[in-house]
Amino acid sequence: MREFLGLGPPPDPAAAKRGAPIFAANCAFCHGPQARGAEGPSLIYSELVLKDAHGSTVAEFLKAGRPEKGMPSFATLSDEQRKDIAEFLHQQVEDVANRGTYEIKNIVLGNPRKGASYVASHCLSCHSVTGDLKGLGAKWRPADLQRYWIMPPRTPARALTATVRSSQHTWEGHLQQIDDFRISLVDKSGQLVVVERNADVTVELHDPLAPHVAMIGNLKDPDMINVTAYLESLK
Amino acid sequence: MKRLAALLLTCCSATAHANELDVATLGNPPTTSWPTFNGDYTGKRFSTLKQIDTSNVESLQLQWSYRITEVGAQRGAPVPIIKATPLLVNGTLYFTIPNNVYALDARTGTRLWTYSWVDNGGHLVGNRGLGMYKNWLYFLGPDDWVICVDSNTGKEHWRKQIADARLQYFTTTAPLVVKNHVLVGVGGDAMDIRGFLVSLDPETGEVQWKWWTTPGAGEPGIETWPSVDAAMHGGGGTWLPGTFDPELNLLYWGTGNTNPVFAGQGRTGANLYTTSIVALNVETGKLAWHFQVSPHDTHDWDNTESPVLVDANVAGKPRKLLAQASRNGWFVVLDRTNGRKVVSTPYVKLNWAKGTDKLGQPIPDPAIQPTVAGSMSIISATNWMSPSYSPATGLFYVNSVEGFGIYYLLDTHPKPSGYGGTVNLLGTTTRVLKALDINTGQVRWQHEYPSLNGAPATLGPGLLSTAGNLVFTGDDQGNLIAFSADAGQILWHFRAGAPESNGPITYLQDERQWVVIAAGDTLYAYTLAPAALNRATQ
Repeated sequence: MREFLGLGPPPDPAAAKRGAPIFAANCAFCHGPQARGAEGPSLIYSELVLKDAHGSTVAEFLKAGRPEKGMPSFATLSDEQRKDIAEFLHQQVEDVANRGTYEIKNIVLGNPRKGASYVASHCLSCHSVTGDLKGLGAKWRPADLQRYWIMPPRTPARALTATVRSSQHTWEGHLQQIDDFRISLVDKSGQLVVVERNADVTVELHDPLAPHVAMIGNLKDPDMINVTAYLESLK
Repeated sequence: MKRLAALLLTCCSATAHANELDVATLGNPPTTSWPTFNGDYTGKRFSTLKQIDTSNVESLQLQWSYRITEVGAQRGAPVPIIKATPLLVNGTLYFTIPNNVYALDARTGTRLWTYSWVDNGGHLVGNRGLGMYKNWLYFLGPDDWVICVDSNTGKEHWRKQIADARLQYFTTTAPLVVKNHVLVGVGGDAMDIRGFLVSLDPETGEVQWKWWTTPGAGEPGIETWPSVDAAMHGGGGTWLPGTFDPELNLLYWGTGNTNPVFAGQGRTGANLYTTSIVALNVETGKLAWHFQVSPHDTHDWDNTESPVLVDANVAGKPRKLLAQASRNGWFVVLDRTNGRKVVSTPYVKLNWAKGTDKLGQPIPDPAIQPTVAGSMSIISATNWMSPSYSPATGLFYVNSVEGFGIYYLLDTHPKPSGYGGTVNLLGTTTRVLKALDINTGQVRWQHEYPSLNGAPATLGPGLLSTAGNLVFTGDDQGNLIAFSADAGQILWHFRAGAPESNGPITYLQDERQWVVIAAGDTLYAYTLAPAALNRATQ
């Protein structure tokens, strides 16, 4: 991902880790604990930082400081320490700019009791808390749980099926591919059938997940969040 | 010696592929050429040609195809994909992929020359093509370099860096040439850039003017930001070519998403002039008017989609209009003399708006924003793929995408940065070609492309409409398709090696109407088969 985005040289995580307490002790007071600015400017956007490679310019800069703007010299730190501060800053930039490393976490904020009552009134005609929903919270990470209880992955058992009719034949089976011009399905015997969609051919699709598809775009956020909290509790 | 070299050059270029674009013809309806990204300045992508029409389109015949074979995987992009709209000038086609320019003989698809750029950073998501002025072509490296090459030889004339890739600016657009201005936009939302549009001198590359998307201290619009600092990092890329009205001398440009992308807590307010349509004086870059289609964007809804210039009657009176189908699912028709609303209405089912304000701008529902626990909203209803407007049908065509995702806020810091959030798609999306009535925004006809896998996020088919009552486009499964423009009937298709990936073009050459479409790494060129051609030209 970072290569595709053209993000420049990756930070050295070990050096960034060493730099964290040095930054906290020497820099965070003015620039904030995550270098996003406090009394002093954000360093995440700093051209000096963004154009630096492994301390190439930041380390020298720290040695001199910018006294006329109230930025003291850090000549008392060692060269290594100043480079480690630079790597710490590059890590802050990396955490922001490289969305390939983003993680969705701590999303379980809903009310499980309200979630249980939503499930009782909306889901239990097809599902059972002691049956297929049992242990759902242990099966998926919360963000996947939230996504998949609304729209489950299409396992073979949940595949779309099709009935294709021409004046001569009727085919039924699991849908493999469909566009405006042809349809492919695998019939009961396991045979792949490809039918050209001419004027003589009608296609009917059946979706076992239709009630889930109907939730997309209609489910309200509070219900979504509460149900996730409830299902997450079903370990 | 210098004089001799000049003479030689003149003689050789005259016998080979001498190519010089008459700048005065830029903006004319494209018939025997396609000299700008959109063919003309209006962005309609409508051709007055009608040799190919509803009666004969089924006999279209492939004349040649050109496949890019020598490039291979580019930094994180496995196969080159032609997203560029080719230019066609004096029998030569010019197109691009990231870091590469190609010149082909339009009759045979034979390669005449290539130009390669070695980048030093920048995002390789795509390259939209070229601009042309006299014998010069303008092309962007992904790392914010504008490169001017000779259209006859591919030899570099000048290069000019307009931004710094280390600050996370990147460039993919096709430069737009208007009079003696080369207009170049930028992208880049990984690190909270300040977007701008720059006008360069076509001969030298010197900067003529620069318009910043977000206002500076004391400037109008700064009141829509909590601080000057937030505005200085507020995003608003300009990464698709705009349009131009020569009578009003105004450029029309769509501006990109606001930054930080999904985390709006550090930038309360409408955040002008991001996610807007802006009208700029082409000589000075001064803002004439604006209309914000996504006030306080928190969903990555770049508003860069083509602002299409339409002349049509409203309530019986001829009007100068501008139409845009935005990435946020909203369709607007404005009076392009002053930016006032004529139509403002959704074109896909969406849940994020609470009506419109007194200017006609949609009002985002504050409850539908990325949150830590998740918030459901539509995914991008369109993107960079070109729409089209046909004056013959009065319909605006857009390949829309219907689908929803869960938007998460990840960066909860009071001063967030970068994307600051993400989106998880729910199930699959559906691509639907919609023909919108220019007077009402209502769907006159639509075609849902059947598919198991839906529409990909950053790729999609562009559109072209013609006076032959046709719309050329494609699906997401490798079928190039022609529809009837008035009724949406499928009349022709061709199975290509990959999904249609650019904006199709058409032009007359050797008295034949050609249609050129890209699909993946290949360009396909069609004309009518001989029998149908004979009938059409009799």
